[in-house]
Amino acid sequence: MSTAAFSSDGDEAMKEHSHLDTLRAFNQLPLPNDELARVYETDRCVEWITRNGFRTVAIQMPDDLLKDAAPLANIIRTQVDAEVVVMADTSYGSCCVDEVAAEHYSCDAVIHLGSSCLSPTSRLPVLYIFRQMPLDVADCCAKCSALLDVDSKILLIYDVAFHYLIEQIVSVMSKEFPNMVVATVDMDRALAKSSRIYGRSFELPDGQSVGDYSVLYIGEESLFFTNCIYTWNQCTFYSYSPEAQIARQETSDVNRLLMKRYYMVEKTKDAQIIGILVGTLGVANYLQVIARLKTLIEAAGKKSYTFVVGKLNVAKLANFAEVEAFVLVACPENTLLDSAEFYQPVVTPFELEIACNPLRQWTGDYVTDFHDLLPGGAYHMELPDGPQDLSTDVSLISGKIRSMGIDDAEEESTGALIKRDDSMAVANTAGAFLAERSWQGLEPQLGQTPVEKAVEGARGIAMGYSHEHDL
Amino acid sequence: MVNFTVDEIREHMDKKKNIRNMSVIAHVDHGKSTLTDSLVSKAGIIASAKAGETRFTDTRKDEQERCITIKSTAISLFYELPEKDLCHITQPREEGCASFLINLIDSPGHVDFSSEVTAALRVTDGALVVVDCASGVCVQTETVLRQAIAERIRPVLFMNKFDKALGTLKLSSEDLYQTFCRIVENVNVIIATYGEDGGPMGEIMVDPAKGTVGFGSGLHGWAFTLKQFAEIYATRFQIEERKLMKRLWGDQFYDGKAKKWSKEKTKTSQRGFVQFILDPIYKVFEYTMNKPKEEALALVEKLGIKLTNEDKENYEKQLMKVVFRKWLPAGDALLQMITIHLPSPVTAQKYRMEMLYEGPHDDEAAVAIKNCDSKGPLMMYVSKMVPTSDKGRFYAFGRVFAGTVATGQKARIMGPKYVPGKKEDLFVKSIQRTILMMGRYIESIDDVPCGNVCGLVGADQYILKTGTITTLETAHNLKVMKFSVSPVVRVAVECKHPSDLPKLVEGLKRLSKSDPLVQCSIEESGEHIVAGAGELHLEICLKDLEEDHACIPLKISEPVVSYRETVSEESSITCLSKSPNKHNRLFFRAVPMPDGLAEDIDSGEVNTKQDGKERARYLAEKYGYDPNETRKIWCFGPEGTGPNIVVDCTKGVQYLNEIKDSVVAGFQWASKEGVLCEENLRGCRYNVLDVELHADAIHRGGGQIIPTTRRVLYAASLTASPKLMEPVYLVEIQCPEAAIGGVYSVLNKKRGVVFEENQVVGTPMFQIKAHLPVNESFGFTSTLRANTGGQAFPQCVFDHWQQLPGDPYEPTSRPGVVIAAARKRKGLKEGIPPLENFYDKL
Repeated sequence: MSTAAFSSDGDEAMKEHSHLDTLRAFNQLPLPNDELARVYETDRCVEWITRNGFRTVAIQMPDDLLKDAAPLANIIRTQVDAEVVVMADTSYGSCCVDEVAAEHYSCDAVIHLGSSCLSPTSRLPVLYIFRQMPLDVADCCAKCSALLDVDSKILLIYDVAFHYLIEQIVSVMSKEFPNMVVATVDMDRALAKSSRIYGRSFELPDGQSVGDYSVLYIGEESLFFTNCIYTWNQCTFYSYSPEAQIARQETSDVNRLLMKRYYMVEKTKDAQIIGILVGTLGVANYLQVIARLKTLIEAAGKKSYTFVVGKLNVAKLANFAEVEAFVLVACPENTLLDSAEFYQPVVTPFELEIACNPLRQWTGDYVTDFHDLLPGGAYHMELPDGPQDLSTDVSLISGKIRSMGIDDAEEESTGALIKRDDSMAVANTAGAFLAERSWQGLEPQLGQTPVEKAVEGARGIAMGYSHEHDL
Repeated sequence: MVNFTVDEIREHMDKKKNIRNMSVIAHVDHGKSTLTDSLVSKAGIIASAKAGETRFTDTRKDEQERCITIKSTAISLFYELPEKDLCHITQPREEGCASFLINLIDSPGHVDFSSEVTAALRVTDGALVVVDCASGVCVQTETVLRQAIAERIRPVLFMNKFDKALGTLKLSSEDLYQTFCRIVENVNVIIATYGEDGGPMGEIMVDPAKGTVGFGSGLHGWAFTLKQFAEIYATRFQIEERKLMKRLWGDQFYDGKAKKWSKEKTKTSQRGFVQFILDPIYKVFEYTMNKPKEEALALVEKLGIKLTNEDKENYEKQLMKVVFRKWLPAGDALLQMITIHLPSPVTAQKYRMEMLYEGPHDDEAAVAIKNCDSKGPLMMYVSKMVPTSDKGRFYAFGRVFAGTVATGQKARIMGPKYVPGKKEDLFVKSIQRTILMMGRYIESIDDVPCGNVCGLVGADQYILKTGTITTLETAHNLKVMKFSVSPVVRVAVECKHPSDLPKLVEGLKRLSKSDPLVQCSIEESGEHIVAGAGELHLEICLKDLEEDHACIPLKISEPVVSYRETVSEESSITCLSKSPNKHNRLFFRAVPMPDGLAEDIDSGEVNTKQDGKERARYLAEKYGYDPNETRKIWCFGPEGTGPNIVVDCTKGVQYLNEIKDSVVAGFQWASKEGVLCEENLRGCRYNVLDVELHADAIHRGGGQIIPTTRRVLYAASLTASPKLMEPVYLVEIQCPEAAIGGVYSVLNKKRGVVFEENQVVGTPMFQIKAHLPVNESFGFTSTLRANTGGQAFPQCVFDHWQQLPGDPYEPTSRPGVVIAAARKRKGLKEGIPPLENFYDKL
């Protein structure tokens, strides 16, 4: 369960640099031009730019492919009549299109390279180039046949890197498995198919649901695959790793995973102050989701703050000790943060809805794509009208009585003289938290501290100051 | 049975001086419930409408099946004391009223349910301590009696199973007297040990000569105190009852020929108790059981016992029962003892207030409690939740200590974490309905004045297990109850389908409400944990959870013990951890606490609320801690109160006060989830030796300090030779001599350590006391029975924590195995994390 894509902090980057393998990767020579053209499908890029007549085009590269950026840009630049800029070091996950950065360069289109979460964008036209990875079709087919029963119903999903081979794979595999359904990558939502998830579409025969199927995944371990395990938690999962050429049944106990997530939901119910983390500026409708979350949190009698912190890490979030839970608005691949290192729980918008929206019940279904929650989405649920009435229950985490909703009676009984505005009706605000702290800010203590001469401080960088090397 | 309307009961509630709130407490199988039954059949109040329906006390099916009380049950009794006996009452009583309202709570005797006893004791002022005279004072007798004394509950004693002493044991009358004497002595030793000399309760030792000890058989429904016999003989001796009672106990010998009492035994004299009480009883027993019926009936007539013709039809045992019941009816003797010797709320609350109230002892609430003033502010303590027929809802059962609680009244409902002036754990709500609780029946009542127990409808939403209900805004809490048992046995429960998770969680919430002790929680790993006092307690809880509360099929793990992590030496090096931005350094060392300090913190002897100087002095005197350092104890943990501390040992560090909150937060985190296997810490002291901070406030915020504190604490623990601690039961086993060998061999196999073995004097039974690790106690009862032919019965009660011997780093050692299993269960990485993860080099 990798979360490194999102929560990398400076420390890890430092370590990575020193790591031999990565060192090689960074210093590695770019691919030769012909190879480059094939892997990155330059022809398609050129054709797309010319056809649409774009003037300035951004090429967005994930950090690990940066070595190819310059030659690739050169190849394209020579073939089109447009400005080509390279973008790297995205503010959020590299799987998402960084529209804001592209707009800084007044680009009118983006070519997104490498692995992608295929989240719909709102502002700029995007071309996805997945970087083709090698796969031995015959081996894949053989290994999978050995693992799976030929009659079993199979839903085939795959990593975007193998999209270019999918027709080939399907043509071979469907002979073996007559009951196979393929979830095809469908960036433009062009295919008229009934089920759509994570940028893929598929059509199940009438009267059947995903629960009836076993899921076969082709690709390396990825966030996309993890999300599928959560979403289709009633299915059996099989995976084939093209690099290791191994097919196996997934053993991770999804029941356990869901229980862990439910713990987070309970913890969110306990929280009085919730931070909304903006983890994307590119995925369409993120503003609607944030607005919806704010309404929901307020209706539940809690207080919300919105945070824009770029890439997340433990230290950044722990700075806000008064926030008791965070909800992360990001693309479906990055929204699920599975790490015990965080001081406060970080939940998905769906989990926050379970915690705060009394109309939504936990049914065992799991949604990571926030679009499903919005009006028109498959899992959309009405928000309650206005503030909820006060209801109480026991928290099994803190062992205390916790309340949800706004208590009118209490306000009146405290006999406060000043009518406070609605946003202050919440019992616990950051102000109250500050009042509890033993240290509340700078204390001038004028005249109470003896005057001292300035002393020379440490020199060097924080990794190790110059005087420390002598120790 | 007494038939009453609610109005009549309500009327009586105002006569506070004629109310007795009492609990019946004893070791398991000493016959509380049977005894209670005989009281209920004599004097139990039932509302007129319910008259004629069946038994009162059987509230649960499983209680019947297992023949064991699981939940405590409250019953009201009504008794009219004979006019002539009113003079025996030394405390104030209502003028011109000889009737008494007795609220009796029958409590379970099995140790696993002793939290129910604690809850019962809180709402009562007196206790009827029942002891089986054949087996004597047992571990649970001691536990509950100790609790009663600590709560300032006045005890009276009842020696039960007299019939067994007569029939089965066939003791001589002098031997029986000696047995009684020893039990009285044993009880008084316990009272003396835990009672306060010259305390406000006055003399609380039990003394047969004063009438505070009863004898009899609950099963056969007869009982007496010396008062009963003194009444009989008073006319014959022409001595006042009270004076005669003194003659009937102790070394008082009567010479029939000389008609003289003396303190020395002579050839012609006999002990008063034996001669005037035991001999007649033995005689009646002998005649009814073994002599021809005519002789028996003649004797019965001579004693003035009136039998109906129907009664006379009986033979032997049945006849014996009937005769005794008519001669010495249990109800009268016990109810007299209760009304005369147990305190009324008015008497009791005078001295109980200071034990009950957290706030200043002279504020409005305190004064109202002290005076038991029904016109003062309402002060009610909710001691437990009683399930209603409505699933998931509960009646809040408790005692009104001051003021009057009424339907529709607006009140402040305060949980245990409420602090006056703050809003945490506080709800201001109207009382939906006040009710009377009588066995399993309830009756609505408009209001209930102080000195009484009652139930509330609707308050369960705002109370977890216990709480204080008041109308006074400045009122503090009534003190939270301290339990004698700890929830040390845990199981993880899992639902079969993830979609059932909300039902499971809801069920756990209900379960945690319904039992005073059980702890239900969700762990970070997603596991749902139910923790109870012992195997039996857990078994009952889980059954309730599956059948009544969650109503879904459950997967239940093997019972596991909760462990504690500790350190056994001072850290070998000063540990340094750097913050994520490398600008801040924390230097810590871990030191084990001296023996006894963790227990002192558990018991509240040393706590956060204490005055810093006072605490420093205590720690310096008892544990030799440097007062300069201990004045700077930053915090306790986990949960802010646990048995681990952080001590500031730095000198002149800049900005140190700024990071204190962050260090405390990091410490709470790390002390809740230790480094070995994320169990709570226990008995660790962490010294902050030095701190280097970035000069800019923004670079030394919580984000930098909190995770770093956690890391440095982990490093400090790892370098201080970390160890695991396991909980240990005190187990008491009663068995005949022949079974002792079997007991020892089982205990040996289970790592048990025997520290006491003695014969119960006057019986062939032996009593063995041992320490037994809780981990080894699973299935202990059945193994023990199997190895002793079913002759040995253990009672286990949590006693202390002890270090689990062995190196946690050795995978095959005991702690190694425990750690590996715990890490696996919690979904953690295999193996204890290496020091390098937490320790940074300069």
